[in-house]
Amino acid sequence: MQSNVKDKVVFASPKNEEERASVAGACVRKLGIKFPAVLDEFGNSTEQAYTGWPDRIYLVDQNGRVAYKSKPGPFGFKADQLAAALGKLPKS
Amino acid sequence: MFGTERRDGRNSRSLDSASSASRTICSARDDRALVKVRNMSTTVEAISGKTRRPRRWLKITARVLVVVFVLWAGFVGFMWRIMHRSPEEFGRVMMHLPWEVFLVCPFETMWTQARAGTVHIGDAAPDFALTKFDKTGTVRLSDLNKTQPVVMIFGSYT
Repeated sequence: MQSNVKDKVVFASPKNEEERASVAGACVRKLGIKFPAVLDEFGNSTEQAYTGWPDRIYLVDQNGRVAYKSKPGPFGFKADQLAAALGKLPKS
Repeated sequence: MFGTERRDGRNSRSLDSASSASRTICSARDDRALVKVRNMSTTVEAISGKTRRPRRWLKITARVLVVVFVLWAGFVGFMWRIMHRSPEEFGRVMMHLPWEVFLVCPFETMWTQARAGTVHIGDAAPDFALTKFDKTGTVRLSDLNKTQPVVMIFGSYT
């Protein structure tokens, strides 16, 4: 996409798990991600379960239930909605 | 009888001449009327010519609009289909399409519906155990979720 070119984030689609790990490493370094970053298995089973591609936010409460689910990215990726959903969680 | 005949003959002759005269008058009137009618028809043609042209253009415009609508509907259907394909297939198609497709079809609305997914708010979150990108360990959702809420941010970097 043009936005990828603009941000100089242009990678070929990984052909194996090693290549995927390499691309993910570049992502973590460039964005300075501090929280655990995990890779989906190469069959994308987690992505399919959550319909996470291309990007999406979920909040799972302590009972293991989905408390917030964003619309699919890039249009639906809204951090302020997540902040509002976090604020609504019961204090423990 | 003769007199009558003669009279009738005279009468008939006078009638003939009268009718001939009236025909002449009529034909003269007809000619004038024909000229009038011709003049009128010319005027009507002139007027109707003016009114027919817009009708023809309306028809042409309507046909063009129908063709454009059919093409647009076909394109929207095509986009709807590829939005339901895998990310790889969708990406392969989008690579060859200009960015203007976002303007041609209601992309965001269609995308939101096509990617609605099956997990909804209030549903049990499907568990997973995935390896960290640097292979320093495995993260299981149900383990993380025992003591705290969990935020998951899905992303793609390609």
